[in-house]
Amino acid sequence: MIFALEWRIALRARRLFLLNAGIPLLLVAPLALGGAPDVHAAVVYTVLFAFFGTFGSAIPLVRDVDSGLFGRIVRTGLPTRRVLAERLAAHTLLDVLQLLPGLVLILAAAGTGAGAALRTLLAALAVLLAANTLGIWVASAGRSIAEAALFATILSLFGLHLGGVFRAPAGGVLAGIAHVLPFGHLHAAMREALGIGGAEASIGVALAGALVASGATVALAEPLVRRLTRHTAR
Amino acid sequence: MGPVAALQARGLEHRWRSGHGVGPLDLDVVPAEAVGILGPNGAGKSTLLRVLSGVLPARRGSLRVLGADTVPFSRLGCAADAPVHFDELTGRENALFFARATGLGTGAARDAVDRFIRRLRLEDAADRPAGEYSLGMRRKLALVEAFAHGPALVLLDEPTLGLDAASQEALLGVIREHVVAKGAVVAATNDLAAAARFDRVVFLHEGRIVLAGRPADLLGRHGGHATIRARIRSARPPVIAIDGADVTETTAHRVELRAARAAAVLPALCAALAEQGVVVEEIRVREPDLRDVFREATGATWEFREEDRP
Repeated sequence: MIFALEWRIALRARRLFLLNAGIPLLLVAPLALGGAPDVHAAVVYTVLFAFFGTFGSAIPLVRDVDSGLFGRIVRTGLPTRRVLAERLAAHTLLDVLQLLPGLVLILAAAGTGAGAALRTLLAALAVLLAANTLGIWVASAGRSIAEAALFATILSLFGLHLGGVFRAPAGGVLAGIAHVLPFGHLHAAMREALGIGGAEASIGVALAGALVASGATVALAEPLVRRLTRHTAR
Repeated sequence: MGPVAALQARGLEHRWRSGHGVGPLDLDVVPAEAVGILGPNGAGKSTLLRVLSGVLPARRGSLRVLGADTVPFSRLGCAADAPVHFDELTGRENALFFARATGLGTGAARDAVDRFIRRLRLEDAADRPAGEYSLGMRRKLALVEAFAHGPALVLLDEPTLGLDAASQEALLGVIREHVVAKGAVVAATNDLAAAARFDRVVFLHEGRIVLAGRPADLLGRHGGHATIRARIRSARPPVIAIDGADVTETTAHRVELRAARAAAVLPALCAALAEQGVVVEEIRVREPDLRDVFREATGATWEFREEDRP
């Protein structure tokens, strides 16, 4: 019910939908078509996907909490886990759809083969699910859209750092963390798609990591929703 | 065993840091009862409704809603004073979503939503995006959403605000039907004409209940004075002394009296003014209403809007 609602709202707000699809396309086009070094482009694409997911989840959620709409949905009696899970699924798949033109451009410009393209798409799905999950936590910490934007930036960068996107492969615990977070896997998949070598993306691990994070978040829906709605009296 | 109370609050309190808020108070609402919560702005009406509907927590005391310690949301209908909707969806789609989310099947939800859209006179706008709605339409939509799923208890905040006269009448009809069908309604309102048609009214003052009862009984006991106000033209304030009337204001432009029976005083007032050569431009009589009850009970004023003044 919430899944269908979110899709219906997104498709009705045509201008916003097109902007959300068009802006990533405009951001990746100069890199994909302008001959930017692939090693840098792979990082930028990964950062873009992570930010898109986190912001796209956190900002609308803060807006809906502020307006009282989220509270109204929760107070219909629908199970809070279902509300959060369906919202998460809907926003993740909407993000995939809106980023698809940009991704297609990246892959087409690089002449990526079908196998690598599919691996990149699945790694992107894992990152968007993880980033959308992160967005829920960001929204629960922020009291305004400005705060949420700040926290989304900090946490996305931190997640990317932990995922090994900005640093050389490390050993020990950090390597373990980097392995279960999907960000490094998308980075690796992007490198593969652009035809440069490096660590191989493990799509199964990326998807499993994102699913575990989102599942744990949904399991904590009750306290999360209480925290989300604590500052609004509507 | 009797029917489960729709609401049972004991020592209920929610105070903001400023000290404003509501409580401690006790409140009982039974099924098949419409209760009006009255009081001037800032009396705590909206805060009370938000606590009753589970939007705000009770800081102290206990609250049972429909026999449960936690608010059973699917059996509750709420319309806030500033309703929010999905602006991208039509009014009908909004109402259908909330009806289905509270547990109605698709067919039943459609039937119920159609019925309440008709009853509350929203047909013409029902298939337009809610983002295009006026305040009155938004409020009507909130009322459709509050009633459509057939809740046992409906909480309404200023339900008649922004509605035209015909829609107000329609809403009062819907409330009455809901009560006849053994539902309960609690409405915070400043609309005294509407409140006078409820089964019981509760007056809030500074967050506490100061008076409660049937409107007719309260009017009989507390507010038994009509106000007579004359707009005049005179060189000096006229001298008015009439048996059975208290003169509360006398100037060269205005005379105000309070009397148990306006009809008994009016001839004497007109005669006194004529005798003194005073030109009378207008005389207005306001029969006692629930504001007078509040004033008598609390000694506090309940500000009148200028258009309500006699």
